[in-house]
Amino acid sequence: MYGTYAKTMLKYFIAEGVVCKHSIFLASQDSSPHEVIREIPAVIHFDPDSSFDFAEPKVSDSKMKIAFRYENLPTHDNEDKHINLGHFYDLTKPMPLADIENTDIYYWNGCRVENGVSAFSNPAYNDLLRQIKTKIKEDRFFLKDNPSKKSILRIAVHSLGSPLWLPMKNSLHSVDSSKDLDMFIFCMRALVRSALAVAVITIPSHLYHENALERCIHSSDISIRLQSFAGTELETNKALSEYHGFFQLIKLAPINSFASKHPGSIEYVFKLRRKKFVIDKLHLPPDFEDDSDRKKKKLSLLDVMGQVGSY
Amino acid sequence: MLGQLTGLNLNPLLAAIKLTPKDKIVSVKEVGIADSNFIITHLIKKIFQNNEKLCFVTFHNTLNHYQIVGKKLGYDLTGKVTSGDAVILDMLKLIEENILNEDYGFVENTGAFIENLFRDIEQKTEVLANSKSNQEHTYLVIDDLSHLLDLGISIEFIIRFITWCCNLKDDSISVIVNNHVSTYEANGDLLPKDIILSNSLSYISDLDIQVSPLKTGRSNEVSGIITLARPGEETTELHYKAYDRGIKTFNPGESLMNLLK
Repeated sequence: MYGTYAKTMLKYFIAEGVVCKHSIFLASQDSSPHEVIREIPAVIHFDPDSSFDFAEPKVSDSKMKIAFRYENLPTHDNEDKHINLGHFYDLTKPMPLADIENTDIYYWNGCRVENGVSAFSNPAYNDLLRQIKTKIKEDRFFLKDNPSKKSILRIAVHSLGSPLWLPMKNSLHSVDSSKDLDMFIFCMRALVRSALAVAVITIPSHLYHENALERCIHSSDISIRLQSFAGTELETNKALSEYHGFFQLIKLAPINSFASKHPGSIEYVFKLRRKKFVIDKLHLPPDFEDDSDRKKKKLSLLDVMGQVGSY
Repeated sequence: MLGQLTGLNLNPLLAAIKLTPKDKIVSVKEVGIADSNFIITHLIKKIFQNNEKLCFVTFHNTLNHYQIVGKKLGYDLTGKVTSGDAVILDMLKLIEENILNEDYGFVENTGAFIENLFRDIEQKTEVLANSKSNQEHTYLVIDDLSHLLDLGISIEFIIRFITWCCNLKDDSISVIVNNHVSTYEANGDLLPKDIILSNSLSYISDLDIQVSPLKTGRSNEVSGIITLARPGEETTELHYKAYDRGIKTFNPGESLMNLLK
């Protein structure tokens, strides 16, 4: 709800760009892009509260009497290898201003949108596309430019399709229509695929009909859904009490290959801690409570049977 | 095992599809999160294997993607373009080029956009037809047609466009169309546009290929389901597993055998 978690992920994406000295294009109508950039987390050189040991899985010393076949098996999946990718960040500290000032950042807040004729019912979409293309063109990020310095442009669009992006008054499109979004994402696909650029776009999907974003998912390469537990019945579920929501990897397109790198049936959950945003594999705890419930039920059933027998 | 899959004559997927020059219209339907791109790349392999000509209209992936995947299957797409056996209409590039243009060709007048696209296809296929010997066949491959909906083009125009493509002057032209449909249910009486488009294509096709995800979720052993249907024939259903360099197909339930091997 309210895009808090998606915004946090977007801040990580921007912060990584600042640390790697990439160019950044930041677009937002909901909150000022200058404000968003002031909130990006500072880089730190260690994991603040690492609870995992990523070394080789230790073989347990204890001997197993019954399940002896499993004795020497590692406790984690082999795929769980830690990859040193990116940096660690501390959400409680803002990125130093000096680092931000040294980065090439373009801000877009939709204030100077002209009401020209365009296919989009809200001209902001058209303006944003044009500004992104101008940035790519001027800074020579197009693949055809064959740039000498191999850097990338990180395009971060916050809360696209929010009420501030709704169709204009005289438009023929209905308010909940995702037509503008579909066209924008497809045009972005054409733009980003022809340049050294990557775009992360957050969309408040709960404002739309459940299936309205299917076309957007089809036009994107990676689609992630953050489903918050807040306000749902999952909020009180004890097995999920440690987490704030599901991290669903909906789509991971196979690019330059036949096979997608999608992890299959594994479910992920996320938690926004004080210092970091954590994504974990979901492991359901053993069903102890149900077991005791079942015993109680069994006992009460025996009571009833006893009563029946005594009649 | 995979070496065999990518071999020229032993490809099990192509053996199952059995594409013939008699298949004038082939519809490839991609359902939900499934990816049917491998069907298109495999069919292109078959086209080149038979020394036939290709006119390729790309909306979904870049040429670089098709080139890399093509190399894994054993053909060189750009080489074929250079030798005059294939022509490519890169629509992603056209859309990207149009973004800064004041008149936005494809969005201002969708009818004119469709007409221009068809005229381009007609011209390219004529060039291909003139360069071939009598026995050769030409294939028009569109990947994927449903992106025209994203561009705001009405369903009437898209169906008209497909009708034109299917009635191209040269009789030795077949059309292979990839299209994507979402998995959502119809809302009220109105069918979603992508489903109307896909149903229309299935109705006119000589061979209808559908690639869909597993109904029960995801599996590490099976990537999805391929359904092959020809009018008047029994429908074939296959399971497939996608690997980095090839596709393995098997009958439903047979994947367990692969696990035991």
